[in-house]
Amino acid sequence: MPAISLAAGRTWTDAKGRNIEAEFLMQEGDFIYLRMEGGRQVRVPLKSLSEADQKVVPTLIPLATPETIKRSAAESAAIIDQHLAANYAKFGVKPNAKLRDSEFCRRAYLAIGGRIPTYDELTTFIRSSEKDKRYRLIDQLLESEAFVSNFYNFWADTLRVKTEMVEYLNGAPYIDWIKRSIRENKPYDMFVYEMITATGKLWENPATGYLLRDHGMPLDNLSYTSSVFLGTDISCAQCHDHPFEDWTQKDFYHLASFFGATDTMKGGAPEGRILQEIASKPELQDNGFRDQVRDLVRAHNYNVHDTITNVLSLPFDYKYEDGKPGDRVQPQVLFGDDPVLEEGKTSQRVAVGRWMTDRDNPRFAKVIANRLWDYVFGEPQLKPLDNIPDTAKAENPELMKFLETEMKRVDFNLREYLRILFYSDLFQREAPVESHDPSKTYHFAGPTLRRMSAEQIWDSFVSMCVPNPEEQKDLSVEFYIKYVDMDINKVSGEEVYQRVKTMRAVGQGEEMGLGAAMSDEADSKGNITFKGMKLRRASELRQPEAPSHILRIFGQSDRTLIHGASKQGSIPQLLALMNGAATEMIGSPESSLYRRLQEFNADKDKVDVIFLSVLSRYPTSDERQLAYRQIKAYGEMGFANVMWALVNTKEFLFIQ
Amino acid sequence: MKKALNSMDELSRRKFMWNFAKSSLGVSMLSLFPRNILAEAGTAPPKGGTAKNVIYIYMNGGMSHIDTFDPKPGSKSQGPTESIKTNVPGIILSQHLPQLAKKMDKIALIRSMTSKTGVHESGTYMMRTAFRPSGNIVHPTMGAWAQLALGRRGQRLPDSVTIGGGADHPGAGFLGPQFSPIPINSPGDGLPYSKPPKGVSEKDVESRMELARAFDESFRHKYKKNQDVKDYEGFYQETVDLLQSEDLSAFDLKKEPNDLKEKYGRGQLGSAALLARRLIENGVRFVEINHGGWDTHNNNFNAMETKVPAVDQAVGALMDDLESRGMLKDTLIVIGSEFGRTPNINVNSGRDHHPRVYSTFFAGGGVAGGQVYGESDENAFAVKENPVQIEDFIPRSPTAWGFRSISGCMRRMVARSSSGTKASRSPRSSASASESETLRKGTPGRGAFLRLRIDPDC
Repeated sequence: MPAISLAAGRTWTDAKGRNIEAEFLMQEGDFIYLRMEGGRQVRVPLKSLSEADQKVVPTLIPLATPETIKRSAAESAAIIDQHLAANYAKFGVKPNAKLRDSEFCRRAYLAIGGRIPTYDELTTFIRSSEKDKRYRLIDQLLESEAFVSNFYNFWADTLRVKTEMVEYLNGAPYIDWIKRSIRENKPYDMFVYEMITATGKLWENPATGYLLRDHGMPLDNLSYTSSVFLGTDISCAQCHDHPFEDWTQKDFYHLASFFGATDTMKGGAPEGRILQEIASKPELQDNGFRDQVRDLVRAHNYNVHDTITNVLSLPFDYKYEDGKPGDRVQPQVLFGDDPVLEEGKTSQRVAVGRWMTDRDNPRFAKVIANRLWDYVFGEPQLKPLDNIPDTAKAENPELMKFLETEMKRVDFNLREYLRILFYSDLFQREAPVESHDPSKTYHFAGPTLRRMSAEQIWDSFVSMCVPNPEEQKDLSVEFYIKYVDMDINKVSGEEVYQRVKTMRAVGQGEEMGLGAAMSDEADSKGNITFKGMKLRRASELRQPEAPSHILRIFGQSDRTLIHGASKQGSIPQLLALMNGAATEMIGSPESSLYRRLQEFNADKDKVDVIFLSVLSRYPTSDERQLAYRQIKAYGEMGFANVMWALVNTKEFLFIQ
Repeated sequence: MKKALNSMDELSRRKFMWNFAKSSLGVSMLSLFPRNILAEAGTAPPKGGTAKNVIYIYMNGGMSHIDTFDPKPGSKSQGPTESIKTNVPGIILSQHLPQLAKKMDKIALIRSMTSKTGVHESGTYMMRTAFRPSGNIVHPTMGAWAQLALGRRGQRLPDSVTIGGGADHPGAGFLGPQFSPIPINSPGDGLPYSKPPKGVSEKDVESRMELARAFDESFRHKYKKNQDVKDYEGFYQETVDLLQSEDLSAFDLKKEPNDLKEKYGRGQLGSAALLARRLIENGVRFVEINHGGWDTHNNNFNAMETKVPAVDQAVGALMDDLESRGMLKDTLIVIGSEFGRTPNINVNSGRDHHPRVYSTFFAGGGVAGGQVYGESDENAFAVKENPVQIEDFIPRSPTAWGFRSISGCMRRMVARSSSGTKASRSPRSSASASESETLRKGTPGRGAFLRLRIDPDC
């Protein structure tokens, strides 16, 4: 490798008089970055330099910026910890102790993989003697399918993702697209841009799901867009000037105007012709069959496209002096420069998509950086998440600035950004034992103590019952696409009829017809179920699950509101843990936990396996005695009793 | 000024709200209140009012007022929904409400509800709590207020039950979990998981519970100062109490005869209404039923053809059933929604959000039937007379709960029925602007409103 020549190199002298040859890259706070011969980069405290050099720094032209500097995740994480330490010192906060290996393993699996570790995963980690095993586990989990499942749940809650997307249309392709985007680690700005600008039918371009989700409610969709991606809640201004912010109703309509030429429905599917062609088929007398044909055809009416005319105008009850009801409104953004609209070249949606996702948009990077900070540590830097006032002050303004810059530096690579957060010392600290006084600012002595989300609870149950839980997939997407994808204007009635017939033959017709969740083909091929529950992770089930499902009982969002999920307790939750099928299945002889147990002979080992599997720790000696007594009194059922008792503890539900 | 208010009024995320709701300001102060409230209220309780229970039927999504309680035959906004006469001359209803039309003499309507928010989440929040969603607090819903002010009624059954309320229901808000309504997802399933699975005896369950408690000891000790953990501790105790109770059968719809189920209708709303009656009969004080599907941006009229008759059947049957058991006079039935729907019919044959004017419904609980309060204009577009804000419809303060009945407007209806058309104004009232205006204008013959004390700082 040829040595990199130091075009802008100079000799640096530190306070002790030692010299190095290096280029000046940039200053960041009290540190400077230098590049030495061979390309090695060092971060040096400004104060460690000689006084003369300290004075030279401001006169040098930096070769890099905080957004372009190269840095490892570990180095960035260390900077986060330095910022945190500054606030610990400033506010007299004592950071919490670091977690033990077993506790760290549980937290990492839950935070990154969305479920508790299995017995084998946990013991492998504990026994590893590698010095950097915690970072390796973080990396391993970030690359896993478990992460895709877990991070999908985050987006599903944020974007209000539903299987029954709108009448006649199944959201499966969109759901699949979100998961693929996570798997491929699509940069966040591109992810959002695609959703805002997508055109076509859902199965042809699944990013259209974002606008189709709110078909018929484009203004509501816009309010959500602004809250989620720009942290600016303008929903009040939908109907009147915002009472406390500077947004006017006109501002809202200006922004809405970017979507004013967009329609989510094209219509034109030849329902009459198709029904007529197959009118003589006996099955058509069956209303269910007939509805299904109709639904299949009508799914083709949904087609996100941009028309020539912008139909957006002020509402008929517009009451301000700056416009009259029915007035056309020009597209204008809420802040920053208005994007240039080239007639016939860029659609208005493309223009607003570029503006929104631009790295120089003052809110786009900040909002996601803050949202993920909250996601990992339990409290945001800036609040509220979805409506951050311009005047809001972060818990640690330097840290927030750093996080925003990091988001841009990693080019919206969310997996890398999360890695930086997970690599921090903060992520390894214990949760505080006391709930903090909400009238005071929380200074992150550790991540907050949180109850597991509904998805984490369910997915943990699944992982105790099913080996390789991430391999149990929802296969309905391909199936749905095969079923629905056709040239609807040319297709014969006969073809539609045959498809519906095939669909019904595999027992999926009824649900399909409503655009509902489809069970998949694998059901008859050994897909694992227990008492009617499909043992797949939450991300592979219906979105959202039925209200009676344990996921919903524990607060899975009904997907009508941004972050509609809840971690509040309730009596039905505890009833479900005590008497529900989910608990029963762990103790059943078919569960993977129970089968693992059978590979051990001594009661001691068996009790260890149960404790490690459910609580990720060994029992204390008192607990061990209690367990032995159960086993003595109840025999084989004693083991099931111990499992039952452990999932019915609060220790199981809370992430320490 | 705008900026200053900013930080107080942001709509925030639930988690954030909940944390703040538990601030000492919320919980500890209010838990000291009940006695005072009752004592205070006792000094000026208006006479009358027989409601002891409430069934609040909440129509999620924004129910079209024009296609239900406020039809406008002959107007351009009416669309295909026709109207029918009721047994009270001069009052008409949608054609889809024939049973209720025959009971109009027992029903009171408000046709001049008005709100400023056309967003589901904030509208629904207000219709449950009377407060705007706020960044730093979660307000309690009515059942929780009632329990606070009147004391807990049942030994084991909860005071309030919410059917189909969804994960984002504010529940007891800052009052804390001991005031939380029990949520039921699906009325037919009753209280799910209230029996151990087959092969597990009650004795086994007891022994398992003991074991769980022992295993949880160290965690509980470590986090004894954590409010979330303590909350779960409370739920645990309540759950154990409930499981040991005979009253559990109150949740079991199977105990109702089939012909009665048919009368209510077999759908979600019919079952929920029947369950509500069963729960009230067994001592539950407040039941909220959530019935969704009203967000009819598309094909409004198709939806109305099935949805409104289901309301007619379920509410009609509920009124009959309560009456035949002598419970109607004690039980107030309320129907509400976050807003109405636009008189304008959109290109998808739908109607959009319309908070500017909409309707609510009352029956039972001593309400004087056959009355309509307020009026909308000829297209049901705006309030023509006597606007009623959400905060007037639902009380904002626990002081209001010193009375035996339940809510602001509801209370006023009750008062009117028993004290004739003339009602007096409470001397300690601090009226909101809209209410003062309503009072000043006064509408003879319609019943001037009784004032409730409304404490804006609560």
